[in-house]
Amino acid sequence: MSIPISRPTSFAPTRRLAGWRMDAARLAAELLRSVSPKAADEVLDLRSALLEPGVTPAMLLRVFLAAKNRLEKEHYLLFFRLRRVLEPNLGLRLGREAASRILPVDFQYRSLPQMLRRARQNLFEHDLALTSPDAAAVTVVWSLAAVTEE
Amino acid sequence: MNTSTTQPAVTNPVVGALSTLLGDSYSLMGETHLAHWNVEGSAFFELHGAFQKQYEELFEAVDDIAERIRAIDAYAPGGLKALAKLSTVPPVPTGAAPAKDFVAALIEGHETTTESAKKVRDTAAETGDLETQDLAIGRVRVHQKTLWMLRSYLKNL
Ligand SMILES: [Fe+2]
Repeated sequence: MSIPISRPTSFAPTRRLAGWRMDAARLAAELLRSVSPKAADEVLDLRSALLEPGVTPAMLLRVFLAAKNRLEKEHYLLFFRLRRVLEPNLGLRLGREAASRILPVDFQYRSLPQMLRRARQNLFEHDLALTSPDAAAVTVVWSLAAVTEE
Repeated sequence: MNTSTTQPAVTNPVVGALSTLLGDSYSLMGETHLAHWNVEGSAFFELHGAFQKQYEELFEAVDDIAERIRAIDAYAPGGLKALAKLSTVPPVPTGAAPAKDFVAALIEGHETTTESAKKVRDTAAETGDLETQDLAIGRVRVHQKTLWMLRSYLKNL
């Protein structure tokens, strides 16, 4: 499924944090209260990433997946809520600039390289004429929803 | 000429709160029905059956809530569009998804509907409408019990 926007977004948030980030940070704080001290590092990393104005979408996705891989089994509901908050605000941009498309992030992948590889593979499967590496570039971006709110 | 001095029922805050509860309950019934159809995986039979019991219970509940609105002399809102506008129940997944995602989404729906039922309970208490309060307390109890069951399903022991 393709999100109906084609404008690439390389937005770096600078002002006050968007509401969705605060919502996610609150969920991370709730998670922190219920995890064992051993698992606290991943959650603290996630919380800091959410509250860091200069975080890139790829960095945020990476720390989220690390926390999810370690803790989702024990805390399924909180990770479900976090996914619901992150889903509309992150996207995968296929291709470069004008010709790009943005797809939703699929959280079933355990790592970012795995997710990007799969997206690239899909791109080649559906467009056999793709030749330039630029056309097959896959980047994690803030979705239009995230940018509008900031 | 209409000489009635009765306040129009629409200004009764209990009617507003009941209408929201009706919208949320109806929407939750629809989402639970969808979960009953689309859930997949090794827990299929268990969840398919549990969701059916839940939407059947909600079907009776929406009738009770709507008829309570009529009993206090207002008209019940109805029709999918009008009820959807009244509701803030979040949707369950619409395609292939882990069974646990259906359970988690329904937990959020029951949480929303519990809050609406509590609003009815408290508004009815403020206006001394004990019968509506009784209905709302019953709804809060049902949703809390369902939440306990759905949350237990997600526990990883
Ligand atoms: Fe059925």
